[in-house]
Amino acid sequence: MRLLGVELTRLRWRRAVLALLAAAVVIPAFVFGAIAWETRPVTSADLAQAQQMVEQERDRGYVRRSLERCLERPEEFGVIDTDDLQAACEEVVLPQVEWFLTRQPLDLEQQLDETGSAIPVVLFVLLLLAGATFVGADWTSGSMSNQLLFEPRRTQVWAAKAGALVLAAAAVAAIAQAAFWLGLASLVRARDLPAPDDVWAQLPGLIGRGVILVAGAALLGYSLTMLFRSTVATLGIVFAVAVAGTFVIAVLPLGGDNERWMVQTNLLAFVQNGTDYYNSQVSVTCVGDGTGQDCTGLRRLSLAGATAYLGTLLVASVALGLATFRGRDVP
Amino acid sequence: MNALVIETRGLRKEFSSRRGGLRVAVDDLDLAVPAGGVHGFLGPNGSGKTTTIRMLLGLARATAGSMRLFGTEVPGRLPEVAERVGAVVESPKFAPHFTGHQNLTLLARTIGAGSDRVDAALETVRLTGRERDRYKAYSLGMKQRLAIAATLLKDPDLLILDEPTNGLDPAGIREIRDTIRDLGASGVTVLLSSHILAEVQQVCTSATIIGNGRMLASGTVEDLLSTSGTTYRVRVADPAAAHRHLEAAGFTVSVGDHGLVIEGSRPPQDITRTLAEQGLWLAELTPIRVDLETFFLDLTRDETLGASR
Repeated sequence: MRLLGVELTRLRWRRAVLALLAAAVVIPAFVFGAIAWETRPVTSADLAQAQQMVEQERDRGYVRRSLERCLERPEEFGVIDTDDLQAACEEVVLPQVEWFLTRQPLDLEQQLDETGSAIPVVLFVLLLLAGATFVGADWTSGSMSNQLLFEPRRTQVWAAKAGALVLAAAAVAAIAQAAFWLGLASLVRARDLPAPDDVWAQLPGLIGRGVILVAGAALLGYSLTMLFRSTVATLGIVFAVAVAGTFVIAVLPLGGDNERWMVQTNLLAFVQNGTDYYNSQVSVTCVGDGTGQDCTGLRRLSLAGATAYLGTLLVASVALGLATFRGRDVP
Repeated sequence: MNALVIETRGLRKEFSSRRGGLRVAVDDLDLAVPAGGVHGFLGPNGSGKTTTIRMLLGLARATAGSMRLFGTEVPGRLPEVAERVGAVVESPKFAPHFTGHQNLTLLARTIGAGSDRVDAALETVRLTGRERDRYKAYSLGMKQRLAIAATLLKDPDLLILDEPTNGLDPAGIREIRDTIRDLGASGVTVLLSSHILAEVQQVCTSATIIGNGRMLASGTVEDLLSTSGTTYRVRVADPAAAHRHLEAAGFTVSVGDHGLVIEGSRPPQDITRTLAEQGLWLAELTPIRVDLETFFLDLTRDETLGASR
C-alpha cells in the first residue's frame, strides 16, 4: 500500500499525465455542451425568424407558380378527394414554419447509441497515452534505476505503478461518463422530454464497460512502455498495429470474417454490449433462393467474444511487460 | 578480522553484441570489502567498475558467480539489505520536471521515511533554499549533491559512490571528501569508485584495482604502494663516479633532474655503504614515494593498451 501511495503521488505530480486526465474530463463535458446547444428548445425568437423566412419564401415566383399549378392539376401534387383544394394545395406547396425549425429535441436513445459509444473510445485513446507517458518519463530520465535502489522488488514496483494508473483511469472514466449522463438526464428533466426506462437500465452497463475499457487502456499503454522503455516506441507500435494491422487482417484468409478480428470492431462490441458486422464472403457469393438462407452476411460479435479478444491482447502485453521488467538490466 | 560487507566470488557479466558475439565486462571477479573505512574501487574507463556496482545493487543480472552484501546473498535477498545500502550510480538520475524536494520525497516515502529526513538530507548537502526548484534547472554539482542527499535518506551502513565528485567545484569536492572520510570513520563502509586518484589516496584505507573486468590488485593502500618497490634520489659531489660505482654494485641508476635516481628493492644502507667505500659522501638520500596514481597507471598500462588494441 505504501508503494501504491508513492505512485499515486508521482502520478499526481506528473503534469503530462494530469493534462491527459483533465482532457478526459473536459472532452465529455465539451461534447455535453455541444449536445445541449444543438438540441436546445425552440425559442420565440427562433419562431419569429422561421415565420419571417416562410413569408419570404411564399413571395417567391416559383412558389406562386407551384401553387397555381397545384390548383390546376392537384393530382400531380398528390392532392385528391378534397373539399378545400386551396387549403390542401397551400399545405403541400407553401413553406411551413416547421420546415425552418430543423433542431431535433434531445433524444436519449439516440445519444446512447452514438455518443455513448464514442466517449469511452475517446477516453481509451487518452488513457492509453497517459499510461505510456506516466512510466515513459521514468525510463527517459533514468529515474527508474534510482527507484529500484530504494525498492528492489521489481514485481511490487511494477504492480504499484500499474495499480496507481488503473485506479486513476477508472476514477476519471467513471466521473467523466457519470457526469455526462447525469448532465443529459438533467437536461431531459428540465426540458420535460420523454426518457424511456430501458435507457436508464442500459446506462450502468455502458458506464461500467467504459470504466473497464479505459482502465485497460491505461494498463495497456503502461505495459507496452515497460516493455519498450519508451513512450515514443509504444505510440509508434500502437499506431502501426492500428493502421498496418487492419490491412493485414483484411487480407488474411479468415472465411470472410476479417472484420470480426479487427481491434476497432471488438472495441465497439465491448462498449455496445455486442455489435453487428458483415461477413464479406457471404455477401459476395450468396444468392437468395427463397429458402430462408441468410444472404445479408450480417453476423453478431458478442460482448463475451470481444472481451476474450481484448482481454487476450491485454494479458499478453501485461505478461510480456512484467517479465521483461523483472528480467532485463535497468539502465 | 573484519566481516565482509561486500563479497563477490567468480563474478562474471557478459553482454551480447548486436553482431551476435559476446563482450565480457566483468570476468571472474573476487571482490572483498571489509566493514568500516573507505574502500577505493579503481580501474580505467570500461574496466567493469560500474557494471560490478550495478550487479551488486540488482540493476544488472550477473551471468555467473555469487554476490553477498552484509553476508546476504544478492540479488535474491537484496530487499532484506536494501535499506542498509545507499548508492549513487554513474550520473544522478531524477525526474527532471519534479523539484529536488519532490524527487527526494518520493524516494523517502518508498522506504517509509518522513519529510523531516528529506529536509535534513537537503540541509546536509547544502541544497536548502533551492529544494523547490525543478531538478532540470540544477547545475551538475547540485544534481550530484541531490544524489548524495538521496543516499542519506536511508541512514545507510554501506555507501556505494560512483564518481561522486563529478561536476563539483573545488569547495564541493573538498566537502564531499570530508563527508566520505567522516562517514568511513563513523563506521559506515564506503565503496568509492573514482578517477581522481589523488582524492582516493587521501580518503581510502583500502582499494581494489580492476582492468578489463579482472582484479589486478587489492589491499590496503599502504600495502599496495609498498609492492611497487622504493625509489631513492641521491646527490653527491661527483655524480658520474657515483653512477658508475652504483651500477657496478648492481643498482639500477638513472639521471634525474635533481640527482641520481636509484630503483630496486635493496635497503638504503646498501647505497650508503657502496658510495662510502669509494670515498663518495652523500649530500642527500631521499626516498621517492610512489603515489597511487603512478601505481595505478603502471598496473593498468597493459590493460589499457590491451583494451585499445
